[in-house]
This record gives sequence, C-alpha cells and structure tokens, in this order.
Amino acid sequence: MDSTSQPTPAAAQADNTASVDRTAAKAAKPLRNPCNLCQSVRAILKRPKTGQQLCRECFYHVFETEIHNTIVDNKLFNKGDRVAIGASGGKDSTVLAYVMKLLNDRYSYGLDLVLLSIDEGITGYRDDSLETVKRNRDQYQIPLLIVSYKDLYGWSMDDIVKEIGRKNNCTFCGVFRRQALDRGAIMLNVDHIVTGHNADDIAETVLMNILRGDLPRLQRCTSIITNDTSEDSSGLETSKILRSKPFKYTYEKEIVMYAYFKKLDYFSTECIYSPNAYRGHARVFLKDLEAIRRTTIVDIIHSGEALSASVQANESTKLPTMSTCTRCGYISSNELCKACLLLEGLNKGLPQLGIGHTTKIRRQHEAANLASGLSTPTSLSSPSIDGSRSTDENVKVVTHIKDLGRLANQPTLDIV
Amino acid sequence: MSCSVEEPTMTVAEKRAKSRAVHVGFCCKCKSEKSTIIVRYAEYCDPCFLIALDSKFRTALRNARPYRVTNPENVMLAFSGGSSSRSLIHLFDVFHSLPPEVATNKQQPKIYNNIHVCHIDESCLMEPTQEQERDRSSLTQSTMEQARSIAAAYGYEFHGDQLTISGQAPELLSKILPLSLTPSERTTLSRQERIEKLNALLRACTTLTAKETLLQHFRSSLLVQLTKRAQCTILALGDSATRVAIQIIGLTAIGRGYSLPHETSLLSDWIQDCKVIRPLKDCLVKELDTFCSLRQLEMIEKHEAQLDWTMRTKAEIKSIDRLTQEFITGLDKEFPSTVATVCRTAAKLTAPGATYQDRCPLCHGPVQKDVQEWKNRITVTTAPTNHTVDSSLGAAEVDPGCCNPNGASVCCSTSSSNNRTSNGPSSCSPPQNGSLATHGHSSPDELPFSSLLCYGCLTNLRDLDLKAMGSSSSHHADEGVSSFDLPPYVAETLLHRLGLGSLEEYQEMQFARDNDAGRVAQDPRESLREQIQEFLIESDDEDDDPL
Repeated sequence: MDSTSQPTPAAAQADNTASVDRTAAKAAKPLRNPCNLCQSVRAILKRPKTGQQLCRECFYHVFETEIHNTIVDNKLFNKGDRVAIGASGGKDSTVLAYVMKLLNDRYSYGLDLVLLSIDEGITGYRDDSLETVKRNRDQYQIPLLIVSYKDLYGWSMDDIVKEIGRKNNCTFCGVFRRQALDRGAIMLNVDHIVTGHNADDIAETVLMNILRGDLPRLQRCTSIITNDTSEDSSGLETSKILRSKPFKYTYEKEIVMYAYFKKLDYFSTECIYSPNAYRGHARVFLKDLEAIRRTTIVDIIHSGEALSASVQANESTKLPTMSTCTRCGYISSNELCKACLLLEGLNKGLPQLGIGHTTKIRRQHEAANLASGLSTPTSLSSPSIDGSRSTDENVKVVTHIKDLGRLANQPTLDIV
Repeated sequence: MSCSVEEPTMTVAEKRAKSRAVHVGFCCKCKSEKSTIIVRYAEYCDPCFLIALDSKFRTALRNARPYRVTNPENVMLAFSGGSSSRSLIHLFDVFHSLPPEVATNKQQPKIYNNIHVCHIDESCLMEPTQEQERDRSSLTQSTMEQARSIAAAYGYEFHGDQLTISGQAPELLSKILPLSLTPSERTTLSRQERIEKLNALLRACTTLTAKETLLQHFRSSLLVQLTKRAQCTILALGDSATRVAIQIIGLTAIGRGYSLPHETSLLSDWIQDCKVIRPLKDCLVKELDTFCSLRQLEMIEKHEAQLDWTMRTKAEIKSIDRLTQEFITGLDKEFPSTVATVCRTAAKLTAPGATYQDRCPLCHGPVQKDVQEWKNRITVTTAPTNHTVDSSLGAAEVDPGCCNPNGASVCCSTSSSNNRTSNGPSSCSPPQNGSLATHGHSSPDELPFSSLLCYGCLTNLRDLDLKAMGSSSSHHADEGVSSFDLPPYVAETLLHRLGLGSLEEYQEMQFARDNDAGRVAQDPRESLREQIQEFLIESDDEDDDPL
C-alpha cells in the first residue's frame, strides 16, 4: 500500500517530475504557465489563500513556512518540550502530525512528539478513523496513546446517544473531549497539546461568538495559545499544559490540498451525530464569503484579534473565577465541572441535567448534596428511567485529576 | 472541526414573550386594542407602537448625549432618502418641537441649536434606463430636489449642492477631483469630467465589494465635510439596528474589526470636532418601515446607488455586504434575537486607543501598526531559496495577498495627471503591467500611500486593477497613462500625516533627498520594471482556471 510508507521529500520530488512529464505532452510549449514563485516549473495548482498559480514544491514551501512562522513568531515551544498532537485521523490532524514532524526535523525544534487520540466510541466513525491514526503512528514514527470515553467516564458516545437521542449530544461530546485531551496529556506527561484547528475554524468561531454575543469567548478565541489557568496559580496538573493551534492561519482548503498532493493517509467522514443547525449557518456563510473574496478568512481573524483587544479593555466582561471540581479535580468555575454534571445526569437517567441554563440545577444539586453527601448515586431522589444505569456497579467514578499520574508505561512505537 | 457546544440560549425578549402569551392578538401595552404590528415577540396596536418607537428614540438620544447641556450644538441629519433616515428626520422633529409652554420658558435651554439636513446625490451612479441608453446626454433624475423639498417641509436648513464649486454637480463627484497643483485647476473640471473620474475609479475595482467599500468611504468622508462646513458638531446617522448588525458582521469580514467600534457605536467621538451618533440603532428596519408608512412619510424611491449593474459577470454580482445582509436577515427570521444580540455584542466593545492624527488616508479610520508585516508572515509569497532566480525578487515580488512593500513607495502621486494608486495586483489579474509600463517619466511628486493605510483599505485596494483602468481609459486619446484620481481629502490626509503643508513642500523634500543620495542616473520606475520583468505576463496569457 502506497500510503503506508512515509512520504519523503525525495519521493515528492519524484512525483513532481512525473507530473511535469505528464503535463508536458498536453502543453505544446513547456512552461506556458509557469509557477508564480519559482518561474521554473509549470504551475499545477491555484493557491486558495492568494490565488497564485504555484508548482508543487513552491506550494509545499509556502505552506510549511507559514506554519513555521506561526510557531516561531508566537514562541509556541521551548527546546526539549514534550508535545502531544491531538490526532483524530481526519485531514487536519493528519497533516498537523506530518508537518510537525517535518518542521521539528528541518528546523531542529528539539521537540519530543507524541500522538494523542480520543476514542469517543462512535461506531462507524471513530473506530475507522482510529485505524488511520494507528497507521499514521507507523508512517511518521510517532508514539500514540488512545484514551476512550468508555474508560474515562464509563459511557461511550453510542451509549449516550442511545440514552438521550440525537439532540444535544454534541454538548456531551465537546465537554468530554476537552477534558479527555487534558487527562490524556497528563498521562503522557506532556508540556503542550497542539490541535489541528485551522483558519476556517477560527474565523467561524469569531463569527459565531459575535452572533451569540459571547464576549469572553470572542476575546479568547483568536489567541493561538490557550491555557485554562493562565491567571491561576493553584498548581493544578492541567495548568501547566499549554494548548495551541499551529494551523491558526492555514486555510482548510490548503490542508486538504497538501494532504492530497503529499498523498497523506487520512480519514474523511463527518461525524455521524454531528450536524448543528446554528453553527452550520455560520459555516455556509463563511464559505460564501470566501468565494467572494479569498482573503476573507484571514481578514476575519485579523478583525477578531482587533476585537479581542477591544474586549480586553472592558471591565464588565471579566471571566468567572476558576477553581477546581470537587469531584474530579478538573478546572471549573463551579463546584462541579460541566463534565461531572453531565455525567451525573447520565448516571441518574436525567440526561437533560447540565444542558442549557444550569444555574438552577446546580443550586438544587448543591442543596441535595448538603443533605445526603456527595457522589451517592441516589442522592437526587429521582425515579430512574433506566434501572440498570443507576446501579452502583455500572457507574464509573471519574478518576480525580490528582490520582491521574503519568502512565508507568509510556506508549512507544513497539505497541502493535 | 468542532461542533457547537452550546445552542443559542433563550433571550430576555423570548422569556417576556412567553409571559405575554396570555394576551395573544392584543397589544402588549394597552392590552385592549387588537394588535396590528408584531416586533420580534411583542405585539402592538398602531398608537402604542408609535409611542414605543418614539420613546426608544428618545432613550437612545439621551444615551448618546446627555440632555443637560450648557451650550446647545448644531446637528446635521444625514438623509439618504430611505425609510431609516426619513424616520430620523421625523423623530428629530417631534423631539425638537417643544410644547408651547416649554418653548416660552426661557430657563429651559434648547438641547440642539439648529437642525440641518444633508443629502448626497448618487444618481449619476444609478443604472441608466433604456431611454438614457439611447440618449447618452440625459442623466438619471437627480434626487437632490426631492430631498430638498422634504427638508424644507420641516423648515430645516438643507445642504447638498451648495458646497460644490459648480453649484450643479453632486457633492460626491466634486470630491473626486485630484488635488490640483494650483487652485484654479480645480474649477476647470466639468461635472461630466468629475463623473467620469469617479466612474473610472469604480471601473478599476474588480469586485463589487471593493466598489461598495470605496464608495462608503467617500460617502462618510463627504458627510463629515458637509457637517463641518455647516458649522455642525454632531452628525446623526439613520443606521437602524438591522443595518448596524449587518455592518458589524460585514466589517469583520472585510478586516475592519479595528475600526468597528467607531463605525457602529451609538456615539463615536473618533472624528475631530464631529461627533457621530446613531440614535436609531435600537430600532429594527421593519419598525422604521412601519413607522414611515403609518406616518405617511414621503421617501425618495430610488436613492441609493446599486452598483451591481456595473459588474460584467454574474459571478461578481454578490458583494460581502450584500451577502451579509442576506445572511443576517435570513438568520433573523429563524432566530429573531440575532440582530439585537449582534448589536449588543458590539456595543460592549471599547474603541481602540489610536490617535486621530494617524488616521488612514482613505477611510479616516484608526490604523494599526505593522499590518503589512503581519500579512507577510502569515501569507508567504517568496519562492524557496533554492529556486529563487534573483534574491532581490523577494522584495519586489508581486504579492497577491496584499500590497507589496515596494508598492508602498510607488503609490499615489497627487498631480492631476497621475494621481494613482499602485498596489500588488490581485492574484487573478495579471500584474500591473499597464501602470508600470505606460508611465514614461519619473515623477517626484509621489507620496507613500499603502504604508499609511489601515488593514481594511490595504485589503480592499487589492481588488483594484490598474490594467483594466488603462484599457478602459485608452479610448480617451488624451489620456495615455493608466491612472485614476482619488478624492483630494486623501492627499490632504497623506500630507498631514507626513507633517507637510503642501505638495510642493513634499516635492522639495523628495528632490533634496534624491540629490543627497546622488542617484538620479536611472529612472526609478524603469529599474522597478526590470526587477519584476518576469512577472509581467502578456495579457492573452490569462489562465485563470482553478485547479
């Protein structure tokens, strides 16, 4: 299989020559349409970000250099950092893993790279994509750790959807994934998690936050490094782990193009539970904007960064003070973190707990806890809908962050 | 590719609507009349609606400017002819006509001294009807007289055509004059020439977005000029909530987030000696339409220039503003709180701490530092080093993502013959062959232009195609150079930012510097051209196919 061998620049060069040979027959005059940058090779693609006509090598060059610039300008890493690459097997994270490896070698970042995947437990989607990640591990020679919802929370997404239906399940998945990544990172003892969020995602988030009127998020969404506890010195495990998005200025279309020309092995199916009406609108709108003016995505990010500064000056939009969840130790602005609240709902057969406005529910919950003590599954007197769920043996107690030490056996490449 | 974690939550308005549900079909204020108008979730009868709108306007006006004032100021109402600005005039009139018992009370100072109305006639940019197509001499009906009569009905002082030199030309066009070297030259241009200059500039825009954005800059600049000349210190705009929400998203999309707080706030004191207020920014356009029809207010039917008829292909017809408008109105139908939420979001933003002295010459907005550098880092446009033909190419290289750094020094000469803007050509059009090649002699009277622009204008000027300019103006035999004129305010701002009093002063400075450097041997344009020779594709080689 072609894609199992790691593509090397030499191989790419060979491909390139081949393609020139092929096209030479078509074009009577060679170099009728030369690459806008090097002028020496026929252009084979039109760059989505600029519209320039480029040859393969020049495209690789600008694509990789822009990511390198982003990493250097924002001082994302220190030499010797251990960096986890959030890998889903999709195009973004596959290209991210490939490019991180490439740049790490080319510019001697001195990073210790490791792949981290989350298994949400979605049959027909995640199981297949995880196979891709495993192949990537072998192709790029980066060790891999897979953390599953089932192990962490006792629930897979398939179970959750069976319980609550198709509506709102993204709430569960999103909240759980965020925490799962952090838990995985602690197990791997890394300093940094990089994710494959691209420019399109960020521009979309900027628009979404304006449409939703979410100023605190509008302020945060354009920053390339996010750290849950930048203003918190409580010394929590999570607070040391940085998160960043090296693809912040990289167009989604170019990532696809890069993966296509490099023949990278990635999984391309949308989540089977996914579509979300409101965000879908913003995404369609963004694509329409991009069709009108191709720099729009970068322009929106530029606007978002400027707006972020405008929010900062405003005193009324301070973030809530952060503390830790009393149950699992994860960062939270309330007594119980969102994940634990959602889990509580699931385990009690009250899946709507924690969706929408939670203030009232939280208050009730705290009152109930005062009366009957914490984390007793029957503390909220509610008739269980699904009897088997509420029995003690089926309820997974989430490991406290403090007890979640680093893995004794760090993943290596030998695992098959 | 994350999916949304939160759905939009129920707003206060939605909650109130629930509690009102008992009165379905009846006005939510008086609860006795049948409702005739539904605004978002609230139902009103006609009289209650008018009262509610009026108090909304008064609240906004009070928030924009405290009632307790020591010296009343003059206010200029910008009147386009549409329902929003028409409502503005009427609401202002109702507000300002004090009941007799108050008016006679000398103790009570007036809040606003004089009310003026101004109108910009855009009829020359409107699509010619078939009749006019046949008879080129007849022009589209001017909107000026109609606007004047509406203002006269209220007894307000009207501005619009009085400030033009000819007394006939629409104000907008008189400003497209280049900054002439001698004042007498300004008067020599006829109305037709001024229209032609504006059209030439708009023709150079390859996208509708660029056209609309440029026109919007000219419009606002003119409004401010009119306001200042009429001795007014406040400019009131009729922007509705719907309009403001569209602006907020639209400005974000064209990279103008930095100036967004100034351009959408209830009160902006960014412009020196001219406060800009938007007292209708809490009213939906639907409310204002209803208001106009209830009050039977006369409007100008065809008042705003729609530029899509100037575009040649269907693909170019959509502009970012137009698309945003469809997006917001569509979303607002499904989620009726959208407009209000977006407006509230932007209202909480603080304006950036830039200084007015450093404003962008084109849009007069605030300018961020190092935008060009930012662009260059995230959009690399240099060849890999082992491929580079010539290392100096890197700098001179055509950068489709933005104006190239070199463009910064080439731009915007301000003499009447070649007041032109040079920038990196947009990617799909061939490089600026026309402008560089056809310009014969070295002109020392250039001003740095793109280096002083704000991010939004820099981005927008990418869509100006100098070559198209060259070809379109070639049928004017006397015009050998492909160039276009920008309004004189642009040059004035440029000189101001450079700390110079006049163009002559700049020329002297340039001349002195050239002599000091001792390099006048070669035409600088020729050397530039040599450097980018390889990028100058012949026009028939336009292979613009996507992948």
